[in-house]
Amino acid sequence: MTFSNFDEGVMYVDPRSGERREPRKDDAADAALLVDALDNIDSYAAAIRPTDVPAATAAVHGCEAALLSCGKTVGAEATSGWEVRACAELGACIVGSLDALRDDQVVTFGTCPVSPLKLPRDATEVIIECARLGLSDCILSMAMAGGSAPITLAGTLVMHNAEVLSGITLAQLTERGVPVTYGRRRPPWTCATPPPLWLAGARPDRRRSRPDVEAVPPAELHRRCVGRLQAR
Amino acid sequence: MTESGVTFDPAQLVMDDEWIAMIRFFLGGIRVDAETLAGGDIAATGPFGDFLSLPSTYAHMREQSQPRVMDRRVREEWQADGAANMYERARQRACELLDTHRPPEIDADVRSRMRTIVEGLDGERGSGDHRARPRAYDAAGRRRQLRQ
Repeated sequence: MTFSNFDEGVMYVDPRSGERREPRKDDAADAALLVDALDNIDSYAAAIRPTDVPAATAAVHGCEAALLSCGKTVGAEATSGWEVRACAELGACIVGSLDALRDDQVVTFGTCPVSPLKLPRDATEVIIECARLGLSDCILSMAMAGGSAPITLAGTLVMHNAEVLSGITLAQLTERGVPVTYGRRRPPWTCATPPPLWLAGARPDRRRSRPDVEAVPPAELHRRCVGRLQAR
Repeated sequence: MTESGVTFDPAQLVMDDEWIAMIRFFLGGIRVDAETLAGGDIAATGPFGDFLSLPSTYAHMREQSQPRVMDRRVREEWQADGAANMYERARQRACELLDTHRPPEIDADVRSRMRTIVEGLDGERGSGDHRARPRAYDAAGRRRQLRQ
């Protein structure tokens, strides 16, 4: 189990002044630096979207700031195919090439289906582009119990799994065997404080060895899950 | 993250880090063997003794939970030290880390290549209008009514 901060805030509390305000690019760098410094936060997710840069390229600016401030995996908040490519190119600068990025994915991507049961254009673009590049995408349902999903935990999980599977299917149709990360989160409709994100797989800190953390291809994940269930 | 994911608060993340440490501590289980059961120490110390100066205490003392932002001191000591609440201690810790933690070293040419990519995209796609998208919150953090 790995832990990340949650994304993506539209407001920021400046720890030095206590002011709650719109976030800037420097804040993205600070948030990523803080994640880098905290031992129990394993990866960085785009904590905020900078508002002092062009809106169209804000996600790329945020990714640049985070990669320069954090040695752990950096989650980019891409919502289109070209943003995926741009952030992948930034990651490739860190590790040397796009080929190297596939083996050492310093930038990860996340996609949220829209509950209930929709994969909108931005989600499909991100899934398809990640698959084309051979990069892992975390497909994370945001099904909210009692609002956009059944109120019961079991019912929410049924819908959650259906939505994640739809994303995995699209990724596999695009590029068979491409790694995909299963994202899990189950907030109630009236959620007050989203918990830190739990990921099924993530890349370890590029400076510290964490053999318990890995990006696992879906076929391998399936094999392991079946093996665990049969062992019970 | 606070307010249903609207606001990122570094102090909250520092507190989250501490709670995650505790979760991991418990998930890690408790080592149970002859050494940790400490039957010899218990028998040797006996009633009314103490374990403070035993070698085993020194050997294992750092395995105990050591919170940074939770404060376990008695009230009088806490008040004499400024009576900062947990949020305030977490905020101070966040500032301290931001001031002292060193980011990964990245070569200047790598930084330059990244800058070139971002500037190229700004020229290609960035309109220069920082407010191009309708914003759900105003500068003071009040929620706006957006037209569909």
